Amino acid sequence: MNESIQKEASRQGNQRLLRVHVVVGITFSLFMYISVFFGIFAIVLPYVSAWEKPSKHYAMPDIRNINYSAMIDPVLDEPDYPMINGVQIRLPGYLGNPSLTISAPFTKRRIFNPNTNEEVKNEGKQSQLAMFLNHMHYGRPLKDFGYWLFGFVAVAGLFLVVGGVVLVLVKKFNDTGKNAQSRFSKWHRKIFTWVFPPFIIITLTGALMNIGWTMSMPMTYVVSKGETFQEWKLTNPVLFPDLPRIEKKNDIVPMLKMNELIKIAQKINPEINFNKIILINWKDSSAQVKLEGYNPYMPFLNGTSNDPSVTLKGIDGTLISQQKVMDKHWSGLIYDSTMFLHKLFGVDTFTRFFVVFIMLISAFALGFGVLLWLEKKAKVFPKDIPVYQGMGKLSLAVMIGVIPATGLLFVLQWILPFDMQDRFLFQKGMFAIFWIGTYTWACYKINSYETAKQFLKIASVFFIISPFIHFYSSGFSPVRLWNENMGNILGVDIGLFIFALILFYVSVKLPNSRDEAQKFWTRIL
Amino acid sequence: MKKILIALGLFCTLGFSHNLIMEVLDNEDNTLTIVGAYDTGDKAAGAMIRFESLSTGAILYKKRLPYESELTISIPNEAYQIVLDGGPDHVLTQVGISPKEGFSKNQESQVNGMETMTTASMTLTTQLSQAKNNTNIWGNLTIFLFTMCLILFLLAIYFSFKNTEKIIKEIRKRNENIT
Repeated sequence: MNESIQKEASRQGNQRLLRVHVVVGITFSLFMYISVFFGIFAIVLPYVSAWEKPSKHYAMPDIRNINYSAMIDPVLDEPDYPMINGVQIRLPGYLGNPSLTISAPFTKRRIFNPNTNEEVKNEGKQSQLAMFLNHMHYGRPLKDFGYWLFGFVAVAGLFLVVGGVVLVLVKKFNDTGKNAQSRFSKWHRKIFTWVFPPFIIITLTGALMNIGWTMSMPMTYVVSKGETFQEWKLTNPVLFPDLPRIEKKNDIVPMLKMNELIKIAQKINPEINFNKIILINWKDSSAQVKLEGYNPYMPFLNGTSNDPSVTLKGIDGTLISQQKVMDKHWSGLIYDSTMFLHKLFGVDTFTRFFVVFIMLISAFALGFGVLLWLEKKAKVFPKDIPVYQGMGKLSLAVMIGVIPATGLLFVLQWILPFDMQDRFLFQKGMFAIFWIGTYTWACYKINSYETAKQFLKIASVFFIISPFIHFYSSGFSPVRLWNENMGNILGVDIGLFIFALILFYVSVKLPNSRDEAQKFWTRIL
Repeated sequence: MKKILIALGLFCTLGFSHNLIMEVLDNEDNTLTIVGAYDTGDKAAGAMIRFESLSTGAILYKKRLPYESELTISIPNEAYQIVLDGGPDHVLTQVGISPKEGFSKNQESQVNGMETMTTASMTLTTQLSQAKNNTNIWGNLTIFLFTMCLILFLLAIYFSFKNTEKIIKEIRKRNENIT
C-alpha cells in the first residue's frame, strides 16, 4: 500500500516538474534562443571585428619584427597628449587584432598598422557590428533592463537544464513515436543531455555577469558591516586594482626605447605573451612601464582579472616588480577559471569552433522544444484548417526572422559609407525595423511554413551578397586577401557564403504545409 | 500600471548616466576657476580646457586639468567661450565670464546675444567647438526608426486580429457543416 502511495507521489512529482519545465521553458525559450544565436557570433567576434573595419585590413605582423618605438614614441611626444591618467597600448595580436592601439582617457584612440608603422583612420563608433552582435547576446541594447532580463533568462536556463536532466533520469519517455511531436521531444532531450555540462557553466557565468553582481547588494551590505552595498567597491581592489599613483619628479628625461623595454620584460618572464602596456608618468624620471599579458601555459587561471605582468623603470628598464599567474589572490584565480569557459579568452580557433558547434546544436534543441510545445497546441486545430497561433507567429519571427535581420546588418556594414552621419544608429535601426517587419509579415501570412521558407531565402540572399559587397567596397578581392595573409578576414567571407548556401538549401527542403511537415520531421529526425 | 512603467523607465536610464560637468566660478579678481568632473563624482583630471575667441576663433588658452581637476585662469580681455574637451562625444561649452572692466565694446555684443551675430560671425561658430555630450535625448533619426518599428508592430497586431477572426470563422463554418 505504502509502496503504491510512494509511486503515485513520485509520479505526480515528476508530472509537476515536467509542467513547470514546460511553463518556464516556453516563457524564456525565445530569449534563450536570442542569447544563444548571438552568442555564436560573439564567439567568432575577433574575426567579425577584423572583417568589419577598414582599419584592420592588413596581415597580422610578425611580432619579432615590429618597430614599436616608431609608432608609440611620436604619439607620446605630442605636447597635448593626455598622460596624467596613464597611457594604454594594446599590442598586435590581442583577440586577433593585427593593429597597435594607443589610448588614454579624454582623447581619441589611435590605431597603427604595425606592418608599415603608419597611423590608420579610426572608425570609432561608426563601425560597431561585432560589438552590437555581442551586445545582443546579453541584452545590452535594452540597457539595465536588458541586463536583468537576460540575467534571469540565464537563471531560468539553469533551472531548465538541471530540471530537464532530472526529468530524463526519473521519467520514462517514449522515443519510438512516429509523429513530429515525438521526434521533437526526443531530440530536445537528446541534445540537452549531451550538452548540459558546458551549457550549465555558460549559463551560470552568464547569470553571474548580468545579475550576480547587482543581486549581491544585500550580501555586500552585510559583509561590509553597512559600509557599502556596491559590490565593486569590495571586489575591484582585489580583482582589478587601480594603478598606484606615483608622485612625479617634474623633470623631463629620455625613456628607454619601447622595443628594448619589451625585450627586457620578455627575458624576465618568457612565459607571458604580452598584449598590453601601461605607461605611468611617462618622460618623468619616476616613469614606470607595466607590461601585462596572458600565460598560455596556465589556461583557466589568467586572462580575465588576472593579468600576469612585469613592471619596469621607464628610464633604464630596471625591474620594479612582477606578478606571476599564481601570485593573484585566490578569489581572482577562481573568478578567472569560472569566466574562462564563457569568455573563451586566449583559446585557439579549433576550441572556438567547438563551442560554436555546441551553441549551434543547443539552438536547435531550443527550437525543437518550442516546436514540441507548438505541435501540442496545434492539435486543437482541425487538420484541414491552417494553424494560426500567436506564440507560433512570435516564435517564427524571433527565431527565423532574426536570421535575415542579422544578414541585413552584414549587408549594410559595407554598403553604408563609413563617414555617414549616425551610421551605426541607422544600421541597427534598420535591423530592428526588419526584425519587427518579419513579425508583421508572419502575422499577415497565414501559412507559417511558407513564411519560414521566405525568411530563410531572404537571409540566404543577404548573407551571400555580404562577402561580395565587402570585396567591392573594401577593394580587397579574395585573392588579395589571401596573398596579403588576411586569412581571418577571408574566412569570414567564406563563412558567410557557406552559411548562405546552407540557408538556401534548408529553405528549399523545408515543408510547405502541415501535412508535409509531419512527413518531413519524421523522416529527418 | 502607470507607476510601474515610470519606475521601469527611470530604472533603465539611471545606471547609464556618466556625463561630464563643468563648473565655472568667478573669483572676482579677474580670474576664474574651472572645475571638471563626472556626474558620478569622479574627477576629470586630464580633460582639456580651452578658451576660444568668439571674434576670431583663436585659441586663447589651453591646458589639461591636473590631478585636482580644477584650474584657476586669468580672464581674457576679449569675448570667449570656455570648452571642456573630454574627447570624442564629450565636449562642453560655456560663454566665458567677462573681466571686471568688461570686454571691448564690439565683442560685448557677441557675448550678450549669440543669436544676434552677423553672417560672418555665424560662420565663425562652425570653427568654434560645438557642445557634444552623450545624452539620452532622441534625435530625428531615432524618432523615425522608433516610429517605423511601432507602426510595424501595430500592423502585426492588426493582421493577427484579422487572421484570427478569419480562422475562427472557418472553424465555425466547418463545425456548422458537420452538424
